[in-house]
Amino acid sequence: MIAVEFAKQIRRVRTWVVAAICVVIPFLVGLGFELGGSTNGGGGENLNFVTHQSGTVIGIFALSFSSVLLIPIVFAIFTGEPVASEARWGSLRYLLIRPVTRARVLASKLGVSVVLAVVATVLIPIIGTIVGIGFFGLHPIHAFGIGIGSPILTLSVGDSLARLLLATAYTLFSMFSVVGVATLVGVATENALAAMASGIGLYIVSAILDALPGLRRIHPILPVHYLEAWTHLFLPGGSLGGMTRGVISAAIWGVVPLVLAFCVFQRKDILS
Amino acid sequence: MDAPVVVEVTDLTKRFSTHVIAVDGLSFTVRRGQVVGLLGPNGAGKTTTLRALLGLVRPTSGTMAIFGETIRPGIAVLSRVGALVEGPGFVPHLSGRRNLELYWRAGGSALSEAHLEQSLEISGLGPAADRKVKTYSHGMRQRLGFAQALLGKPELLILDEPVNGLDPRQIVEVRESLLRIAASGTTILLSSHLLSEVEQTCSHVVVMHRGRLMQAGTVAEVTASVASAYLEVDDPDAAVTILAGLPGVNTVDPSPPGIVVQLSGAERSDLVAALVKGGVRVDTVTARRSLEDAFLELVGEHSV
Repeated sequence: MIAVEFAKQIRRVRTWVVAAICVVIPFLVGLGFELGGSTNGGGGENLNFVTHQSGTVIGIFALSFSSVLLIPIVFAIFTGEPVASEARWGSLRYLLIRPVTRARVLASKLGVSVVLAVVATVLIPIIGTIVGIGFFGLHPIHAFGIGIGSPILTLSVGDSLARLLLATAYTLFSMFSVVGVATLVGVATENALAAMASGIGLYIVSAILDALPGLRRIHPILPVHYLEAWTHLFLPGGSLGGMTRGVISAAIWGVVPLVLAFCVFQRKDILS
Repeated sequence: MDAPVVVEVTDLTKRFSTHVIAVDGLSFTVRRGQVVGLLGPNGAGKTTTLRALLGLVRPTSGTMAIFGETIRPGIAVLSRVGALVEGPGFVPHLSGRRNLELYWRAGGSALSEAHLEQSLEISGLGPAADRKVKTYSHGMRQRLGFAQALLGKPELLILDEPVNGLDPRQIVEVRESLLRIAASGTTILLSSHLLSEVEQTCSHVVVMHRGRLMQAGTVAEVTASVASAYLEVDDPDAAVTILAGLPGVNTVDPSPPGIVVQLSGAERSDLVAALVKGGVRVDTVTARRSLEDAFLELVGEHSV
């Protein structure tokens, strides 16, 4: 069933469009830094480097630029859609009377979608780093924090690559919440657009709420709150507390809707 | 000796909301080798019944069994069933052949066990089987859906409006392949709102209206239960007198230029024999009631 699902999704145009975007974006980031010279770029407030002239820095910024919007969109597209598309094509009912159990249908669709989304988004820091190496080579990086007299964190090439890997893994795990909500809405409504929109909408709404100081109390439960906690990996004296809480938050935001999605799908009347 | 029961529907009720009852206390039986037509106008609950039988829709109450196994979603016995429900459904960006392959493999069986070439042959798609499904016409999709239903050489075929959207030539082809499949011993349960279709294809009929069972039996039984005859004779007045006195005749009504006779046991040939004996020459005798008339009468009785 997993092989079958893979065969269906790999030939879809949207799979390749998304993959292409995930390849092009880090190119643009690398090009931007190449053209911008030594001026300090954007990124999270925790990302400050003495110089951008290293492959890993480009990888780090490519990840930073895409983690807030592009990566959630990719996950929402891949995971919100499969059940809904199959329902729209009318082939879902035939799959279920083949018969394939509902849990198996959902699990294999979810599994393949997540794998494809992970592969697509992992391209962003990888290509970013490769492009960066092409432009600047690979050197140790020097990060500093905000404030005068902030100490400098020097990371060897190996250390910086390892931290980038961890940052990427953390960002992908954070997407658990998008996966959960998009899957739940996709299963419940059999509407691909609604599923994708709700996955992305969850992020946009909670980003807005997260920006409102008056709602400080609910900030820790918002799925975006810890999204950029990985930047502490590149901050002198940065703490891992944010990432730990982020992992717990993403696990809850992921598991609860996914369990609901399986229950809904199990009991649902298939009228498509 | 009755053939073994293949499908058993008992008191099936499906309520979609408090106001919408799609199926209401429906019971019927399909035995091996029968070709049963589930007949009713659109909205009678035919599709919901078939969906419930396939475990797609959860019944509000009642039970259903196929080959003696109580139906629940995804039950393994469905692998012995081929189905076409509410039109075919395929992945549009893959070829017809690839769709059938993936459909088959999704069930966890080896492709070599599928009757792929044979089914494609029946579908008559030819080289088009290797084209993407999104380039297919409605009729081609329908025929591919038919091929998909036949892939596993099913013992039971469940077909929802199998000739919907086909042109007359394709309808004849589907009808012929259905008769061939039935002749090979496959049990068929099909739904249709086309009475002529059921009359030509089915051995048995289950008449549904507004979710309820109206009547079930062989096509002949259902037709006969409201049988009547239409006659044109040279002397209508004399004919009315003669026919009214015959046993097995319910009512005799002049319907110029002929006479309509409601039968309750008498055969049309009995009428002709009596008229000829009484010196009345018979010009035309037709079975006034086809299944269509029977159906309209059954449904009419229960319409508001």
